[in-house]
Amino acid sequence: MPWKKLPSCILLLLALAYPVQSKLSSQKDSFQEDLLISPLKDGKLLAHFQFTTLVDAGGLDEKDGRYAHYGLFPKSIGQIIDHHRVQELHLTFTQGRWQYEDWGYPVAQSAGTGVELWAWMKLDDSIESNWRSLTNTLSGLFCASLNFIDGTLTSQPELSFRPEGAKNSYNHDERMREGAEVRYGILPHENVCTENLTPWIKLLPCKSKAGIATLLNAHKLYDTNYHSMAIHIRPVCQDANCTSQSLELVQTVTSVLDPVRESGRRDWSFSSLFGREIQSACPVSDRSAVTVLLPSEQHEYQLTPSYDTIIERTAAQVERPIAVYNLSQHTEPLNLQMTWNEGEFSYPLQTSKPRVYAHKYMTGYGHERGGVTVNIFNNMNESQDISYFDSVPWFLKLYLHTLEVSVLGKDHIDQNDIVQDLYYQPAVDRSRPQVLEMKLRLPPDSVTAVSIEFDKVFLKYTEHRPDANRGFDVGPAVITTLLPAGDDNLASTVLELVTNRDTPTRQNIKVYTEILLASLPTPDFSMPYNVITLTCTVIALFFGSIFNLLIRGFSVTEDEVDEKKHENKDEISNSS
Amino acid sequence: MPDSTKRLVIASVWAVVLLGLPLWWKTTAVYRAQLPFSQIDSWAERKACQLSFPSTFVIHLASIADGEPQAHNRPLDFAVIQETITSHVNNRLASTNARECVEFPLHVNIQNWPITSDMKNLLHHIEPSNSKQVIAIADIEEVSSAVITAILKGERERVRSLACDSELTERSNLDGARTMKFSPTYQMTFSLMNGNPDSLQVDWDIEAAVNTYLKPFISEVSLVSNFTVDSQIQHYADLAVTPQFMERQKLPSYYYLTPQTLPHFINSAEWNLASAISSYPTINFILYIPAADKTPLRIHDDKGQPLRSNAFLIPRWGGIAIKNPPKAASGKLEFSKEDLKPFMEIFVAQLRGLIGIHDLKKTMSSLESSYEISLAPTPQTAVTVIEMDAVVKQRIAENVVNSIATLKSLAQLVMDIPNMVVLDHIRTEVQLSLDSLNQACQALQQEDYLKALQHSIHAIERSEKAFFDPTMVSMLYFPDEHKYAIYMPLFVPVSVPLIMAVIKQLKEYKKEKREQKVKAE
Repeated sequence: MPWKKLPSCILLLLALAYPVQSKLSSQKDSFQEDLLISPLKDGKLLAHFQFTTLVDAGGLDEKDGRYAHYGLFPKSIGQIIDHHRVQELHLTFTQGRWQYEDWGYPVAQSAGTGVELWAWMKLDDSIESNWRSLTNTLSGLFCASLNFIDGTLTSQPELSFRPEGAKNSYNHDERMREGAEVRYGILPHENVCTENLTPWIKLLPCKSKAGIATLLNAHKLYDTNYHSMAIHIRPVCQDANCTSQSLELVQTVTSVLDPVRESGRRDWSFSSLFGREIQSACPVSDRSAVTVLLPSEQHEYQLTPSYDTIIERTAAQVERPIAVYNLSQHTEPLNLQMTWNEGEFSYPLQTSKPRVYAHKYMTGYGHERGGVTVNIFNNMNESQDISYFDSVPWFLKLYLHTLEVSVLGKDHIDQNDIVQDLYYQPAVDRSRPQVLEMKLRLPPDSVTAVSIEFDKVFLKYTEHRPDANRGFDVGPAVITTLLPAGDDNLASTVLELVTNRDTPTRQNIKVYTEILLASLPTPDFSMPYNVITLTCTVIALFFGSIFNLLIRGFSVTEDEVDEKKHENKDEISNSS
Repeated sequence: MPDSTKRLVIASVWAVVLLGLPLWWKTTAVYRAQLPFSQIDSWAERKACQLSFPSTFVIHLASIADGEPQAHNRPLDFAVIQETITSHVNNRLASTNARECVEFPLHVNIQNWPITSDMKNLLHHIEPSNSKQVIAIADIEEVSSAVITAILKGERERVRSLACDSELTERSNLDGARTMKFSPTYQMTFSLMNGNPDSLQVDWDIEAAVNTYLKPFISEVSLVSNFTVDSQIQHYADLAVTPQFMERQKLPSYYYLTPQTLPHFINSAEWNLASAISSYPTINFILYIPAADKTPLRIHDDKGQPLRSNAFLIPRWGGIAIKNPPKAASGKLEFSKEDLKPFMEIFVAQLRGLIGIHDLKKTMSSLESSYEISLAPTPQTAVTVIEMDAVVKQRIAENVVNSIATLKSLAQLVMDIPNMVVLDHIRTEVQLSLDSLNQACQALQQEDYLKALQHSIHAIERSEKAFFDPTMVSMLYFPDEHKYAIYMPLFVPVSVPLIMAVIKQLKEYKKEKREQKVKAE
């Protein structure tokens, strides 16, 4: 036999035949589905879907550094974070703008318009290529243009976007940061539609065939004032001491619907909002619940069918009762319906403003230079610490010396009293953006204005988008702050309350400003061809005439010569 | 102005134009590295190197029984027996094809088998009744050549058809169509598909099952290709086809799928089977639990009889087994390692087919009628040495042929599209691929199959790297039409006076000639 170097298979066999404990794939997984519905003050309705999959991070097959056997946790996501050595990943697709002043704070923290991706990744030599590969892979998985998040859009925030995982760990921040780095990128111009939702739904254990996810009807979901779809992956602790960790995948869809638009009334039902009803709970879920945050006045409305449990006036300062429907106890399809005891809905003239919010706008005119200003509002009676993050593309050249932080109407407050810390990364043309980060202490009841000026760069011919005259989108500024529970972040505390998780006394809140549209000087794109044609014509004309001059024979006709001969003998020209 | 000056001016302008044209052509041409076309051609015509797949058989003859050296009629002449067996086999396997593009040298090596005490048992096993049986030389020759022929026959045919036949005939070959295209790594995904979790929830201990039943096989075939293994559970896996209903009197009725509907069994739109992280080919194995309203689900063969295994193979894709949950089962169905054993057996058998292992037992069964042959039982690796050997030979032939074909089409592409940019690293890859081909061929002649396999893998990887290089499909190439369009405003107005001047001069020249003639006359 030519097969000389065969290993002894028998020995190998014996080595492999060690007793293996019976381990079923999905025993260590758990899945929860939640739907939170909350009427907003301006007559709109917030519907927040949240699907949580937990998998034991220690119990996974980590023999060769990779998870291999998946139960409820989606294999594609598991492979992606495993392959790219991702510790935490947050990907959000948003369309529309969250109206902080009317709606309070969103349940899902990420709310910047467009597609936002940030991830904490293991720090090693391949982190840059891992990040590039991650954006490309997610781009393929969710049919989005995430692959355009390249070096020119990627930033590394130093003060914002801290890890959210492993919360109970006493020093979670240090532990997470040890050997890990964050990467952040946003595509403000990206459109979100069904083709992104379909792969997102496929990650759910029950897809959209059973449970709360049946309500995810793309026709209704995208016909709203605001919608946002996200996946968040983070490690969480299983117990107080954090001896063992789980990997948590939270998939959310947030939608702000407008029942008033169609009927003039605030009444809604599942069938009117989504065109569907919930048939049953997802059979593999541990918890399947619909939660309605009710208005504080009970006589104003009717809710049918009646709730299973109600939570009233709890410790977490929630002043409104919460109705909970436990789907696993319902045998009949659930079509929740809420009717208000009123005629036409009259829009409130004044809404209660949230404690901290911000607006961003462009200043200046023309195509040469401009500026950007962010107004940060603090409506509290005490000063508030915030972190400010802004990543500006390289084609807007910021001048740091023009950075000005002032409190409107209170000129006596010194800039240095407000700015506690500042981090600035200058841009490198065509390879990285500017990053401006600050720790600010907002004075009580104030409007703080942060402004900076920039020059607009004349881009190369090929660097323009196909719709060059539309301009370039510039991502939002992000403000991160810690706020105690209150009226404006009610919705986000409710879910933590009903899922019996520890409700933190203070909550990390992110406020996203508007995205901006910067119009850059646009060249005439047909110019190169025009130049070529024009130059060629001029050269050809010049050549033709010179050539003609060179080869043409000039001769003087006889009778003229006779006349002129007498006048000037030297002027006899023959040829040239 | 004298005519001679005029002509000189025209001639010099024309000289500048004529000298300038090649310069212009050269400066606007795209860069094309010179590929070794002649070498590629000689490989494509199988002239560069004679492919040969030598095999050596060692026959151990237990010629000397205990204390009876002269048991045989005449002393054994090993050389003669070797020659006879070789010629027998060669005669039987002689190709009918006149044009032979592969050689199959055969060496038979007969060795004396000294009987030691620990072999007694084996001998006892072979000849339990009488150990003093005398076997005629002719019998030895006959049996050996029959066995060797049986082993080599299928193997040689496959290698020959791979190496010599055109692609068209290969495609019609059922065998080749089933085997996965070669890749150094395959991803293997086991999926437990649950038709309807409302009535029945499923779970499995796939990790233990893979470790016990599959790992030995994988480590054995890792000589050829590596495998990564993962698994998932999918709920609400709807069938893309509607099974038919078979109602039976007295017997329980069932649903069934016909062979015609099986290709549509996979619902690739809804079952998450694609992998997002690598581009290696995926081999899928699916254990399908049909929904309660479609139970029991069976598969019919061509004759309309239900298959016993209730499993089928999708060529170049993977395998599917259907498990009907027991009627009484409600709530949860859990597969332990032992429950999974029959399915893992099916999957291993399907995997053997998918990676091109041919069952030796099947080929030997034809011989069993005339001879009593006992094959050493397959160890738990589920693959024997001879089967492995055949796979290695096939894969080498396949890789060599495929890399030649890739290089050939690359050469053709480059020749067909004159505007294509060919960078230097493409040439390097092509050269390296050709070198690897050469080394593989030489290793084959030296009977070093492991080395040949390595080189053939390098050859195919490099040729594909060259072929699929992103610079080969560059968007920014300069078509000739483009060039003409841009330079037209210059060339047309410039050329008109130039040509007119030449024509005029020619006319004048002729006129002069005529006048001179008239004058002379």
